[in-house]
Amino acid sequence: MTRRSFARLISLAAIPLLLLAAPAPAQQSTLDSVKQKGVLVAGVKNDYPPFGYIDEKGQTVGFDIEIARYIAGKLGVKLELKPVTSANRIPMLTNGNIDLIAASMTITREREEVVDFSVPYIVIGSKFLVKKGSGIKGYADLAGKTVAFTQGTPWGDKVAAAQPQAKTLVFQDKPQAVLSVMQGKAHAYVDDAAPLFVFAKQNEALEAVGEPSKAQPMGIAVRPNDSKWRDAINFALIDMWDDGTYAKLHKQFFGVEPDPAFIIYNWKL
Amino acid sequence: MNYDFDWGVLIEYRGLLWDGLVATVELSVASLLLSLLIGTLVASGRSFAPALLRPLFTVYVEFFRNVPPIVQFFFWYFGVGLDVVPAAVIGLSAFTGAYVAEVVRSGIGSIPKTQLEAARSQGMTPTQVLTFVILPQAMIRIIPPLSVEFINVIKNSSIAMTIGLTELTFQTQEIEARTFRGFEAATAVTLLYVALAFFIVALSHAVERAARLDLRRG
Amino acid sequence: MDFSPVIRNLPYMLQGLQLTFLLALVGMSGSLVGGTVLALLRLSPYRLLRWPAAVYVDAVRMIPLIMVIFWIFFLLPILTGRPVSATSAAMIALVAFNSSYMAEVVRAGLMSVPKGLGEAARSSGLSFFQNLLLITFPIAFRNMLPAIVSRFIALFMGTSLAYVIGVTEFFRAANNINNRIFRPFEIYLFVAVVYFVCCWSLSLLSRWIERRLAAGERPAKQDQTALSLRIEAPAIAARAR
Repeated sequence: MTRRSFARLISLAAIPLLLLAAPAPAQQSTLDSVKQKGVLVAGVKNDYPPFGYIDEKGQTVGFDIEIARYIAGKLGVKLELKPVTSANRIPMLTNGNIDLIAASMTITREREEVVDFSVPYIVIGSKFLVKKGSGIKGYADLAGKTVAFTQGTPWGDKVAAAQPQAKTLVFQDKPQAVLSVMQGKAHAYVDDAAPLFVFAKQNEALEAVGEPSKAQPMGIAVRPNDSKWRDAINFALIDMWDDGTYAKLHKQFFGVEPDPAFIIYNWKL
Repeated sequence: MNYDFDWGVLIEYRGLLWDGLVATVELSVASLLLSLLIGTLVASGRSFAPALLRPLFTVYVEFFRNVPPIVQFFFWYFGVGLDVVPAAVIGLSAFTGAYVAEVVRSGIGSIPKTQLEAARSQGMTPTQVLTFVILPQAMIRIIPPLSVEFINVIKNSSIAMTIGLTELTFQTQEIEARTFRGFEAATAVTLLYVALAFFIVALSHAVERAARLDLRRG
Repeated sequence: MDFSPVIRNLPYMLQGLQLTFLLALVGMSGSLVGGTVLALLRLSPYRLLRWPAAVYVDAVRMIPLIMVIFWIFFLLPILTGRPVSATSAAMIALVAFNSSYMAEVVRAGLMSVPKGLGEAARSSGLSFFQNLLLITFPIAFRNMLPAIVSRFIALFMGTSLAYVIGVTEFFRAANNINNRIFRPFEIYLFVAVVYFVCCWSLSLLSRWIERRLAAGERPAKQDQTALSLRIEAPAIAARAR
């Protein structure tokens, strides 16, 4: 091969590498880029009723979806849903695949270090999903037993701390954890209360019991250091509370009125 | 690039990485041994079983090598209801066994007819010929392709993370979920896989050299 | 065992199967290009070009495909500062991963072309690139076909790993259905059968191509030992009785 023709071949191969070296787009607030795009991309769950699930028509619906839809409406943009899991929602957000996380995400200090949360939009307790008649009521009953949870939730450490003699099973999808209890692979599946109630209703052999932890607040997560965007979301949540949409959605998806102790304050004197 | 590198998490979470490495090696070794057994049985059956039974072995090979490992894992774990480790071992062995069967088959086929004729003329039964003459020689010949299969087993063991086996790739995700330092975790795990592959290659060369020495002596 | 839920949800799963085929096709086309570039780089007289290519080809094959998928989806955006969609990440990962295998296939294919043809072409005035494109590649490509189809089958099965980043290919589609109706035995058995039918048909195609290519050459040598035992076994059995 002559040197000249080879050099030509190599310069062709170098072009894709130049694309990689192109500078990243300048940082602007997500609020501006969402309005520019005309689309709000929301990361939501699609296997976790009533927060986010797929209905019989194959549509992704749920409490979180409606919140995202309200926010998109307030901004005057379209809504695009992207399914996420507890394990991949933060990378999806920080990489820019989604503009916000509306996926039953509990506010914790560790998470606050990598993302920013909106004001809490719901406070929810947790439960153990067990087989009816198993006699399991709490951590004490789980000594020597197996507890299931999904990767990306904080239950691994919590269970290890509260019941060191329990074994753990980790799953990627929530329904897989439910299946594991049905199949007897796990004696309990620990997660948020409302979805476990739904799973128990769907399956006569299961029930949701106990109190694995105190009630925790959930928030919408956005990329850090983007106050403009976080403010826009907070204002939308406040509006949603003030105009009654929140109460309506809560009733629709949780079957009950919102807890009287929970308020989204409107920050007006 | 605005990413806060923190390579210290690798030291902090070396326990998880070690657990993952152990799980990967355990699953790979167990599956390799079981798939060697399966592959040898199936290959021998394909070449030497009564003609009516032979298609069964062919069906095994064709079916289990054309179904992705992740599907086989999910079938044994969620479909049949086995526990994580049995499902992972059976799934991986069934899949790899089909490939090993083909490797063993080529090894058997590479043995010259004269070996067979000499053994038969000594009065050995076909089973004795198979066990004492053909298979030993075939096994030594297929050490190089078998080491490739061993590396494949190690790579495919990573798929078991999807059914909750806490092997190396699972630990990458676990460290990411706890520390949000996925880049560092993935780098460490990738280097570990490369190290495992190098180890297999070195091991295979050593075994080859030892085998050839034996042949020369005998 | 009740397969009616599987049949009810067939359209959704078949859509996923479409994406599976698309991923495999894009992966194979991309890696044919990538593999060719890598193979040519490895044949280069310059160490600076040869070594990175050789390292890439050897190293990528030591890493599981699932790790490559995670790298491209979660970590490439950190390097480039730009997000990568799940489907794009899957395609890039498949191309990057398979290119290392295709590099070996292309190298073998190029070397299978008799040198005399290239020399004759160059001596009759064709340029280096004309020779490469018009003479060498067509013949090499014909010889590579069985290996290409065989790697395509592996790619087709590899698309199932895009499940982990949420791409709605066939396996993930089946999983989404199972997450709703909880019939794992029927669903995963069905998924296995579908993959088997697709991959096995492709392997039959590969064998047919091999036979067509070998037409005119002498027949393949049979397994010697196996053949002998097959002939001898009945005679032995007769004698034993």
